Amino acid sequence: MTEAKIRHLEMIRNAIDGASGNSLRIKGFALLLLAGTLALVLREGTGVEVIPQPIAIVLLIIIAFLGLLDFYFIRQADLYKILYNEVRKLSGDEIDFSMEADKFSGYLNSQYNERLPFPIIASSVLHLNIALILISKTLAFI
Amino acid sequence: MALPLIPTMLILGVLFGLIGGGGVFWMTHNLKAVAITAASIFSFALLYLALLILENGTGIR
Repeated sequence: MTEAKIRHLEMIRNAIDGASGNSLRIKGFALLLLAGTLALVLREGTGVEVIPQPIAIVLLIIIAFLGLLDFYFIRQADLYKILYNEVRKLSGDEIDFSMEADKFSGYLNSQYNERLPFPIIASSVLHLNIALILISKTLAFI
Repeated sequence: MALPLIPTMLILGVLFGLIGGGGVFWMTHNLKAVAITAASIFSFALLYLALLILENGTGIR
């Protein structure tokens, strides 16, 4: 294995780390938003028992965008993993330090079709459950 | 706006299961993943319904 190949693989691994770290940070931020809203709006002793609708709507929009961003980063990480696997098979003089992972988009879709994409399932369940809690704290029940 | 707890939470669970399932289908075209997503979201709605009942009662007299 040549020096250039090792360097290229390290570059791709940094991109994978960055994308999956961003995905985690977005999940943490979404949970922080939910916890912060519940703690600040539904304080003890204020008599407020439901989240006001304008606050809930703004938060739902933010959560929806965070969800989409999370999917985007999960997908980027998976694309770079495929690129890593392709570069791994190249010989030393074929290394061109290319970071074009988007060309594997079609291949990634067929991979998702074949085996279960657990990160996407988990992320979708997390963001929708945050939205569910927000909505159910906004509707006043009998 | 006062809503009955149990039907509202069941409808929300089904609705969000459909939204999540639709989103996952759009991204992956994997029906098994769609089923797992929808089932997880719906079962979370049931769990949260149970918590809300413990907190507020059912509202049924």
